[in-house]
Amino acid sequence: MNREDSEECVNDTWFAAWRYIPPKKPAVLSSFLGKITRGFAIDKLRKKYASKRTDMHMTSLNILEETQMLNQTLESPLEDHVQEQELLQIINEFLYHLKEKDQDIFIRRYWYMDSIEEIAKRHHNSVSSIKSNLFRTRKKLRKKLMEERYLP
Amino acid sequence: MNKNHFLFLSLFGSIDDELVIRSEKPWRETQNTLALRKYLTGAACAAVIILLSMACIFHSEVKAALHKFTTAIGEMLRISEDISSYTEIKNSYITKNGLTLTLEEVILDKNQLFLLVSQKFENGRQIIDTELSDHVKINGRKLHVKIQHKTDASPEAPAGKYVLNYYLDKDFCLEDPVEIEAVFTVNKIHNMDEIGKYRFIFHASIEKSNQRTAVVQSGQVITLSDGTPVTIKDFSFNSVESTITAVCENLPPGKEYYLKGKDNLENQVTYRLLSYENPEMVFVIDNNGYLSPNASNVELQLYEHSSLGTLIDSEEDDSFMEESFLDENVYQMTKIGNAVTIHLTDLGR
Repeated sequence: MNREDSEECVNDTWFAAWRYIPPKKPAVLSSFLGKITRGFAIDKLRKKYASKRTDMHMTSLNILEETQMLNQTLESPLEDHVQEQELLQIINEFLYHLKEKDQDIFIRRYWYMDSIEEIAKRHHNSVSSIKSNLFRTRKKLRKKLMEERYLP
Repeated sequence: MNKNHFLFLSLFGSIDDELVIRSEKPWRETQNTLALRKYLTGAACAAVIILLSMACIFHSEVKAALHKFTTAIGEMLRISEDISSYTEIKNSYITKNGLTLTLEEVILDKNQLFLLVSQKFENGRQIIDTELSDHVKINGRKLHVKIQHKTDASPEAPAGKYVLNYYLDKDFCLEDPVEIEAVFTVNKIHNMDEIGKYRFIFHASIEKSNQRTAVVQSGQVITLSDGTPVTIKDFSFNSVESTITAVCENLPPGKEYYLKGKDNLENQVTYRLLSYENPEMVFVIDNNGYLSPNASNVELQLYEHSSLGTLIDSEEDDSFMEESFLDENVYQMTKIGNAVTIHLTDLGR
């Protein structure tokens, strides 16, 4: 996203927080606000992607490519009205069972949307090593979802 | 792409707060992880170094079933006799979709299987990052890879080589004939597209090697500089390799460990720490030393080396992270605790 979009997301976050709190009392404010910001950011990316805007950041495009197979895996259960909460529970369990390092790499990439280079620097690994790690974890998650019979 | 490109990302946004908060913090290695470090003192093929460090008993009595596709391992092990009759290889190389996979080296003994696989893109094809997954069986029984390592590109192998090491469980009985089936799937890293599946099948005839298994004095404890105890567990030695396993809870990270000493025939021997999965440590004999098959005991002293030098490369496997350091002070080591003596028992003679 460009600077203007980012500032818009931040403003939207403050406004949403002002609306939600109270009555909501988030246990951890940073994570609560982070989720809201992330949601707004994805909405913006979705609109840009739909209108085929060329100013989408390369990291965003790469993340979309990487998660393509997981999108396919999730499509069918959600169409069959499998509760989102059930799927989230599976994903949470999967993440908790990962090694700490694999967990951190996965979350930094797909929650915080760090670039591969940023994650490589954080973990003192090579870029190809981080790519391999993410590839393996995505495969494992897909397999986990298959085992829970959510694959079409 | 599917119709909802943001499905996973949207759902993932609602994972547990606890997970998000953990990753918010700066990353720090936990005490359960030890980086595997190798010192590079010159330009060398990492794959050959790993294989040599695993199978470094250099003497003419090696009778384990081997098959050499190249002369590299054979020369290193100084095998002069013709061993081609021990194994029958089918499909030593396979080409699919512009990528050729070659099974270059195979070493099999009672406890371990080593595979060296190279890949080469056809002329004119762009070299891309790939991921290799394996499915290897011996006599129909699946093996789980213990260590997988990819070497850097070199003139002879522009796309790099994969070194795979499998440990055979203690209850794994190798019976003649041995059939090894190795199926490799190669994927493009950037989009997970499969390039191809490559299936190799070959047979080996095992001859009884001059094996010796040491009886370890259990309970021998070495105390590290910070008071952490290291308990020697198993010592194994055969014609192809030798390893020492030990137990240490929460081994402090950031150091490299060696067991150095000599056998009763005055041969210098060095074991270096290969891997650590809390609490198990695995040392393998280094190719700079030699343990005589005729020795009756070996005395070893633990050393630690804390200066790692400059990080120049790193890779990760399922079991450990491997980092390469250029260390100009590789020979500066600190002695730790008392020496341990391992008595070797001759079996099978």
